[in-house]
Amino acid sequence: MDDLFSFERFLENIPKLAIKLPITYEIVFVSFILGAALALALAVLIMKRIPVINQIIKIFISYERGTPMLVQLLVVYYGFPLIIESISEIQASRWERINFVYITFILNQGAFLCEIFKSAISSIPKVQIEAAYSCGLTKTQTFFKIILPQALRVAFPNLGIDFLGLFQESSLVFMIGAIDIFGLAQAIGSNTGYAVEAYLIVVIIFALNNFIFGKLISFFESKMSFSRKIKSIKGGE
Amino acid sequence: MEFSFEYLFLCLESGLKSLPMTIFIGFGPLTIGFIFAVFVALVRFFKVPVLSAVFRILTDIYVGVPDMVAILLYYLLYLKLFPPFEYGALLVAFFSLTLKRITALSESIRGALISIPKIQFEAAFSCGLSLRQTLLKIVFPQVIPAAIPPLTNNIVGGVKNTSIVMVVGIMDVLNGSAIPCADTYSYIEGYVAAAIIYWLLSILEEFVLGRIGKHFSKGKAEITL
Repeated sequence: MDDLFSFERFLENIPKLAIKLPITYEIVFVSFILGAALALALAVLIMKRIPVINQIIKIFISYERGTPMLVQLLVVYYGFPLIIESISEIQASRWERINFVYITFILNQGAFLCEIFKSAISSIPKVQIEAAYSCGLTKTQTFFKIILPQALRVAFPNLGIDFLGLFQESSLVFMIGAIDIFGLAQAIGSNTGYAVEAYLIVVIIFALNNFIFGKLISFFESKMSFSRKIKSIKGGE
Repeated sequence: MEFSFEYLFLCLESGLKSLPMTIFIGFGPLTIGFIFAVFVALVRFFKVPVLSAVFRILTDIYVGVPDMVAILLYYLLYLKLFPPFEYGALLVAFFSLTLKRITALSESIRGALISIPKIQFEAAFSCGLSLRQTLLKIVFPQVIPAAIPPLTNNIVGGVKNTSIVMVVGIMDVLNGSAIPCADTYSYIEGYVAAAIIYWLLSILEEFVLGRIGKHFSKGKAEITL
């Protein structure tokens, strides 16, 4: 049994692996924030219904939704340098691997979050736009001050689910040789011959992470929902 | 290095040959997982003592574990604990994907169950229906349309994410598409071919499931009218 699992090795590996945790967070946060920005831009573009551009965006979203993250990662890793090097002098194949991870994840999040934003924006009644215009607000003002704040509230639960899923997908990056926490666990495994402990630590870290962020998200969700606020006011009476 | 369309077609052909494996490992765990997921969802919905708490804790933990980490952990345990046998890796992949499907599907089914108002149970019981009758005749017909949108995401996502089984060496679409690439060491054609196959498969699934969803929500619309 000692051959398979030892508590000493388990404890020994925790600090080693914890060092790599910021990389996972970096991947998740950078791609979520930049992906959200891309998604918002795409959602606005789709709403404008510009011919050709609209179709291109739709195909792009369909591709990102229809293919596995792993395949997207591999296609970007092998294909992106080919495209860049054929149109410019930049030696993209020598870039650090984490850059390809960012490109894949931002594009992927752009597509997935765009769908969420689109349905959230279209859930806001059209009357509000007319009301805003009649109050003398410009188009930009209406979007940023009236539509977006409400749409974000509607989109919040779905954004939370997507955000949690992103953590799990970040475990794929070792497939192109970017060393995140799971990549390091494998490296420890192949160096020492004992991988079970390292893998278990990764499992625990991911499960804990999911639990904590899940709780945080549902906390903010309850803060944001108006029906609950009304209930609590009534309860106070 | 340049992109060669000749190789792309070779890769597409080779990938399509492995499509049955992807379909098997995609829909197999889905079907078995669905049966267990209904059981787990019902146990948690009726708050069966002990068992419900056990399932809740297990789902809460397992939902957070990435597929890739789980499959490699099981594979490692298989290599260390069992003598290697034929289809061993396939069995490990199947087991790992089934567990993941159970957690994901049970959450969507439970969500749909919760969406049925409690009053309906009481009404059915007061009409003299047994629990089994209530579930089969009153609850499930309503749960199905409510569960189809989350199930669609689950099925499409579940099938395409079987691509991770490439790490344990199973010949699925992703691995199959990359076979011809071994000659030239240019893998881009293989992965593009895999992307095309997965893409078409997902579009097909979404179309079929959309049709099924429409079929089931027809009755719902009539009732509300």
